[in-house]
Amino acid sequence: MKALIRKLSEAYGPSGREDALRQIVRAELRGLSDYISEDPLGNLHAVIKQKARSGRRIMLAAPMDEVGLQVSHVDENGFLRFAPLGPLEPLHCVGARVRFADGRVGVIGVESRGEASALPTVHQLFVDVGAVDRDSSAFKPGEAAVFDRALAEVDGRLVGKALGGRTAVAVLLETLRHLKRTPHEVQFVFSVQEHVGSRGARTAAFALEPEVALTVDAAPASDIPRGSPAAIALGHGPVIRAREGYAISDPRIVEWMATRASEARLPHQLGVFDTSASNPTTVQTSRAGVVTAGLGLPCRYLYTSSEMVDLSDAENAVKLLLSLLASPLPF
Amino acid sequence: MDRKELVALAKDLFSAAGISGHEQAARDVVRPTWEPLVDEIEVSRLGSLHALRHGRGAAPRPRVMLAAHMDVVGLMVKQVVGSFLRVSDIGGVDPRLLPGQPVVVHGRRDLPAVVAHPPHHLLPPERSAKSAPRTNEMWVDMGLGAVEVGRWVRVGDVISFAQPPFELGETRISGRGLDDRVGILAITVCLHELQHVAHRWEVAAVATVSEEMTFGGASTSAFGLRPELAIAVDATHATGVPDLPEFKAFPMGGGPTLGMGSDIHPGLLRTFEVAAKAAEIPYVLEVMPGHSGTDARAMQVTQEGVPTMVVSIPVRYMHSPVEVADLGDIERTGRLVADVIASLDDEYMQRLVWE
Repeated sequence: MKALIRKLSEAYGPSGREDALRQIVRAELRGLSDYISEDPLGNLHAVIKQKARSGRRIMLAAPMDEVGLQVSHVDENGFLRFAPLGPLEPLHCVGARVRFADGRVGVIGVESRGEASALPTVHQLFVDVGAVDRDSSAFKPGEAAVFDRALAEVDGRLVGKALGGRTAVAVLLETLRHLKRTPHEVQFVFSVQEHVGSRGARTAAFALEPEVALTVDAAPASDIPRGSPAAIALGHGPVIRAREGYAISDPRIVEWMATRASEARLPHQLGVFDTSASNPTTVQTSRAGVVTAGLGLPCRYLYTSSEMVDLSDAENAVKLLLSLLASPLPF
Repeated sequence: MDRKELVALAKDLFSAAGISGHEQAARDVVRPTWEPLVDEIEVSRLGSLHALRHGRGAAPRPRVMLAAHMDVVGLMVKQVVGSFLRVSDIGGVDPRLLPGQPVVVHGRRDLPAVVAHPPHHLLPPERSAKSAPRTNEMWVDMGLGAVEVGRWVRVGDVISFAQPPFELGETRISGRGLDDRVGILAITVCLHELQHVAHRWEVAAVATVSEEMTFGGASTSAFGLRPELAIAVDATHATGVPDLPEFKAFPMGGGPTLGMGSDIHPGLLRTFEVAAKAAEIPYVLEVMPGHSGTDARAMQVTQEGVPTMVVSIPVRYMHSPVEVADLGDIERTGRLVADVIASLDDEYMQRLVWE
C-alpha cells in the first residue's frame, strides 16, 4: 500500500486538473470492478453490481484533487501572482516549492513587509520561477501549481503533499482489491473538485443514486502541542465522523460503523468537526436524500506541503470498510 | 382540535428532543398525531415524515407540500474529557445563553447535566468577565465520574435544553424548540380542518429534518414528492419586546406573517391574502428580499422549480430555551393554510402567473 500511496501523493492534481490521478487510478482499477465509467466532470466510477436481494446501493467516495494555486497575473519581471485553488493558506506558502503540470517548478516568495510579524495575505505572495521578465516567461495566467514534495517516511509515518486525500484514494483501491464477497452494489467514486465545494461527489451521487454513502477523506488530527479539543490522534484508527461542517452524519450509520469496528476489534475514533473544507452535504442532499456519513483518515498539517498520516490508520480503514460491506445493512 | 388538545400536543412536541440530524424523538410524536388524519404516511431516507392526504379532484391530481421542520437547535458532544464534555453548537445556539443552563445528554441513556463556564476569577486575564462566553470554553457536567461518563456518553451524542414547556399568561406558551414545532402544530390544525373539506388537491404534510443545518430535509422531500406548490410554515421574530426595533419583528397575536420576496411566488401570496381576508384572519406582510431562512428556499429550486410560499408564526427569544408563541397565531395559521388548500381547484396552476 505504501508504494501506491507514494505514487498517488506525488502525482499532480489540483482541483479541476486531475488527469494524472485519473490515469493512475484507471490503471489500478483494471479488472477489479464490473464496470468503470468516467462522468462529464471527470469522476471515475468503478461499480461492483449487486449480488444479493439483501444488498443496497452503497457509494464510497474519495477525492483525487489536491489544494493548489492558480496563476492570475505575470508581472513585468516575470513574477507570478496567484489565487488559491482550494483551502490554501498563505501561512503555509512562504518558501514552498511548487510544481506545474509539465513539471516546471517555482518557489513562493513574499513581498517586503512593514510589520514582519503579521501573517502575509495571499496578495503579498508570488511565485518566482526564475524568469527575468514577462516577455521571456513561458508562464501564462490560468496555469495551476501544487506543492512539490516527495513522500518521506518518518519513524513509520508518512509525510507528503496531498497525502490525506490520496491515502483515502488508496484506501478505496485496496478495499476494492480485497472485496471478495458483498451483497451490495458498491460504487467506488474517485471524485474531482472536492476541495472547491465537493462538486464531483455531488454529480456522482446524482448519477449513481446511492441509498447510502460513505465519504472517505482526511480528518484533521489534533494530537499536536496545544492541539484543538477534538483530539483526533494519528495511529488510533480511522475516524467515524458524527459531524462534518453542516452535515450531521446519520446516527444509524455512525452506530453501524462504531459497532462493526468494535466487533471486529479495529481501532477507531469518533469525531465531530464543526467546520470542513469539503462539503459532504452535497451527497447527503442529492435527489431524494442519501444516508451519509464520513470516514476520516487522521492527518496532521492538512493542506500544507507536509501532511502526515499513519499507515496503520489506512490499513484499519480498509479492514473496517471490508467488514462493513461484507453483510447486509442493519437499518 | 380545541385549545386544550393543542396545548397538550404542544407540550408533547416541545418536550421531544430532535436536534438536527437526530430527529427520531420528534418524529415519534408527530407520526401518531398525523397518521389518523391522512391516507398514507412514510419516512424519507433522511428521516422527514411524509403524511399524504388524497384529494377529490380528477387524477392525476396536483400536489401541495406543507413543510414545517421538526429539528431544533442544540449541542453535540465534541470530546469527552474525564467526567466532562466539550461541545459543539448545532444549528445556532447563542453562547451567551448557555452558561448555567440545565440540559439533557442523549447518550446510551438520557442524563441530566448542566452547562458550566469558568468563574470569571479563573478566566485568562485577557478574557474579562464582560466579554461574551465562548462555546469552546464551556463544559457539560453530568455529576458522574469518568468511568460512568465513558460508559454512557460518546463523541457525537446530542444534547438538548432541559427546559420543560409551560403555559404563560392566558394565551401563550413557552419552552424550547418552538422554532419550528409551532409550524408542526399549525400543520396539525390544518390537517384537522381538512377532515371536513372536500379538497381537490393532494396534500403532502411534511415534518422536515435538518432545516437548521442544511435545509436538506425539505430539498430532498420536495425532490421525491414533486409538488406543484410548496408552503413553508416556520417561526419568525416576534416584537412587543422593549428596546427591540419594531421593523425587525412582528406582533404576537396578530395572526401569521405572509412572506414577500425572492423565495415567494407573488401569485401564491395573493391567494393567501384573498383567503385571509375572506376568513377575516389578520396577517402582516413580512418582507424577505433574500434567503427567507426557511425550507422554502430549498424547495423552490428543487427539480424544475416549485412556486413557494412562507407563512410564519411570530416567536419571541428564538433559539433560546424559553421561546414564546401565541396559541391564537398557531390556530389561525393552520386555518389559513387549510382555507388556501380548500380554494385550490383543478385549474389553479394554469391561473398562477407572475404578472
